[in-house]
Amino acid sequence: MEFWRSLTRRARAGSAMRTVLLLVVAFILVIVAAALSYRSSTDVQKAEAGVKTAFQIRREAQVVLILVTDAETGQRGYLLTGDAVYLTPYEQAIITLPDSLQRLRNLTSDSPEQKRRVGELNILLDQKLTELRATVVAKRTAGVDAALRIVHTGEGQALMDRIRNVVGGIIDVESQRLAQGQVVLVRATRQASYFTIGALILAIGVTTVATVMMIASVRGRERQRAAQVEQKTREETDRRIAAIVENSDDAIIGKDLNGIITSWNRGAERIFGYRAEEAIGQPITIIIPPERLDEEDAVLGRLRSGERTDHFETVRWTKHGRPVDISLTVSPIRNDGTVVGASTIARDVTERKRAELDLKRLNETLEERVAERTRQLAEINTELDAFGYTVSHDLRAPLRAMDGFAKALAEDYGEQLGTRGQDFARRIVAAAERMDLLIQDLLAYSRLSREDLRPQPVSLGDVAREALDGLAGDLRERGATIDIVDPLGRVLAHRPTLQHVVTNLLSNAIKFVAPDSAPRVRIWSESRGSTERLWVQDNGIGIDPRYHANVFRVFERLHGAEMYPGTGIGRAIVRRGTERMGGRVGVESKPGEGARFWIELPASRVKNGS
Amino acid sequence: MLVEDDSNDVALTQRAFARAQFANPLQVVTDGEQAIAYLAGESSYADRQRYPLPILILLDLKLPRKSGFDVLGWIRGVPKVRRLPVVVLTSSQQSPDINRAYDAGANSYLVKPVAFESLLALVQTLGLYWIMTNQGPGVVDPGASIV
Repeated sequence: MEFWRSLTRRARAGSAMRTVLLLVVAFILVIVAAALSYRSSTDVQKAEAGVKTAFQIRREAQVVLILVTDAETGQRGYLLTGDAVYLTPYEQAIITLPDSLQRLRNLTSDSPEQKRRVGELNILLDQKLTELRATVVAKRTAGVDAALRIVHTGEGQALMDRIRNVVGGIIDVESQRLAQGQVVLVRATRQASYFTIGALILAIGVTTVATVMMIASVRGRERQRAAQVEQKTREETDRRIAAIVENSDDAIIGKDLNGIITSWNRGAERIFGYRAEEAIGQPITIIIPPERLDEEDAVLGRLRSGERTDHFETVRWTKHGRPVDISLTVSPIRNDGTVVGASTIARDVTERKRAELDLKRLNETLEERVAERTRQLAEINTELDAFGYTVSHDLRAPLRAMDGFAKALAEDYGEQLGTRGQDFARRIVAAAERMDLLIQDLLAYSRLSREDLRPQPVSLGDVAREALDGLAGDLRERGATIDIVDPLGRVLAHRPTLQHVVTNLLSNAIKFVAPDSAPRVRIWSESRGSTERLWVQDNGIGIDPRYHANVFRVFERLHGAEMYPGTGIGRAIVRRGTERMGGRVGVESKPGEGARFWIELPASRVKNGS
Repeated sequence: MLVEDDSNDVALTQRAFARAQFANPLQVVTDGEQAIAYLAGESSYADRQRYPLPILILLDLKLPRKSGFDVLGWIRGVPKVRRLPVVVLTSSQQSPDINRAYDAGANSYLVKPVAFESLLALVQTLGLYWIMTNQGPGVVDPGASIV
């Protein structure tokens, strides 16, 4: 990885250098091309100038020849006619020729050969002009014959021929130079454009390559920067993981395949007591009790085949030889697929172990404690039975005495007691009767709690009618109307208990009516799936909803004993009895609107027997 | 014969008997041992003239020294007295007591009512049934007195 990174870095540095080099080469090439094309264009200019000069020389030379010829023609005309008009070209030539000659001299200044020819031409022209002047003068002074004599010497003709020869030489040379100059010019022009185009193409090519390389280099640098960011993030993550490992409560230990400790976090320091610098480099066996050394062999064996060891509960030693209960998880550390070591996470489970042991002990003693508790409960039950016996037997004896003797007193000594005395005796009797009722109800209630109530199919109709029979005296006395909505359902219940419950329900229904009004009671049943609900509705004084929760409690009396006599146990018996048979009770009522009490018991599907 | 330890109950029962106007005398013993001694004719009860065997025994269950059950068991185990009708008259309404009493050979089981009128009615019914109506067993002792 490291190697690869340095390689790419070097490659990247090389490419930058190459880019610069290429740019330099491109620059040099452009300069060279510029220089070459400059030189070519200078050559072209020079060639052009040469060509131009050659043209001028040729034209001047022809001009000189034409002037001389014109002058001679004019002289001949004058000689023949004597008319001075013919002398105009001669006079013109005399004036113009020196200028032309001078121009020729200037134009041919850099060519000695031409210069010499121009000098020769100059002399020949002077001589020719002198010969012409001589003939003209001779004609004018000595007549035409004198002049012809001069002409007939042929000197003028010879001069003219020589002039023609010299001018022809000059023109030939210049024509030759002109042809050469034109060739050079074409070549130089072509060369110059070749150089320019080539240099341009080269420059474009090199620049393109350099640009491409530069872009690649920039991209590379971007990639490098991204890689750096990634590297930084990775390092940050590594640091964070390291912090987590370091601060873990669990011991996190690294070891190689020989069981030599390679890392040791703070959790390990805390659990095993060795500091990191003490533990690293030591064999892992420093924390393994001698009798458990084979465990480590097994763990290492599994590790070599790449297997984990999960939540293995064992015991290790601290530096001070104290055993610690731990849960071990050993996972292999791989490098390119090869297992090179292991990371061990050890959790201190001493506390948990202790809790488990406590729990186990508790469980072991549970049966014992249950038996003990059952015995205690049985004892309490026996005591309760004894109490019940005492209540039913002993508490009622004094009541009988109170009742009996108070009555005996009233009967035997009534006259002596007087009205007040008789009233007192009556009160004693009434109190005794009330106390007796109370005791009977309490006994019934406590019996409900303890007796085993085996449910059997019972007809609610039978129970209700039997209960009404039992209450016949009361019903008659109060002028009550009872309305049974047949058929009533069948329930699973303990018949005597249900009888007791329903009797209490009905007795309450006729009891709590407003003075001067006759009780009207309606009884019906309602099937509610798996249960059957028996409703008893009265036209009584009703119960405020805030007392609904209280009406089924023992001794919960909502009314004064004077107005509505009762022990306050009847409805408690209704609830306890129903609940003991697996049922529920409830009431719906508002003051002044009567009350609807209900008991709900498991429905019986059996049609016969009760 | 009434076997009853509570003097109030004794007095009230005697009063009820008096009010019922039975001709037969009512013998009273106040604990289980006395009851057995009387029926066995032991020591002070040897005089059968004064203490004749009863024609009906009213037996309370909760008694000092020997309980009503002990007395009942003893009676049913002694040939001379085992046919005597025994009516249990007690305060207990506990069903185990009731069953146990019948198992031990009681002829009837009555709960002492609190109201005197009820007691009177009960005594009258008892006399009417057990003394006037019921055909008693053969008299073992010819000199036996009633109740």
